[in-house]
Amino acid sequence: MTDTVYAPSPPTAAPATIEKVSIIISKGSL
Amino acid sequence: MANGARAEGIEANLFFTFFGLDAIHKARNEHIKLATVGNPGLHFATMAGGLPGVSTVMTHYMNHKMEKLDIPSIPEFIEMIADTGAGLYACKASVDLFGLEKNDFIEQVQDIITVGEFYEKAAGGQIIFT
Repeated sequence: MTDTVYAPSPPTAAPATIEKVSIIISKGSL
Repeated sequence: MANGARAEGIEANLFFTFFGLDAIHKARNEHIKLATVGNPGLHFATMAGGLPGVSTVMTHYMNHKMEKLDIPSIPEFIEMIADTGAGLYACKASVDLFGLEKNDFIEQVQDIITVGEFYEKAAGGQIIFT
């Protein structure tokens, strides 16, 4: 039986550059 | 977030759905209130948040703080975001549900589109739900 590891895994690839975001707004309050 | 995205040169499209439509509604976007019921971020009892006038007082307080910090009001902010070239779209299903039409919205709203059409615009990018 292996122990559960809760530490985050190291990134496997460099983060991609974000070129586009689409934002959904569903609330009508501050 | 849209404003920040545009400042970074990131393409941004905004899709207003259900009660989010108030932010682009000509008659309502100057009267957006602070939700005081069921808002754990305010750190007071839910029952207190439901008392008459509490939402109005808290909204005035928040608007005052925003003004002091030179943060634009919601209508000004939406206009600024549109001026940066971001796309503003209203959800067709919600528009139909609330019996609204294109004339009810501020001129910066480019179109009333379906969820499918919005996903086509969103293709290849990141989607943020607020």
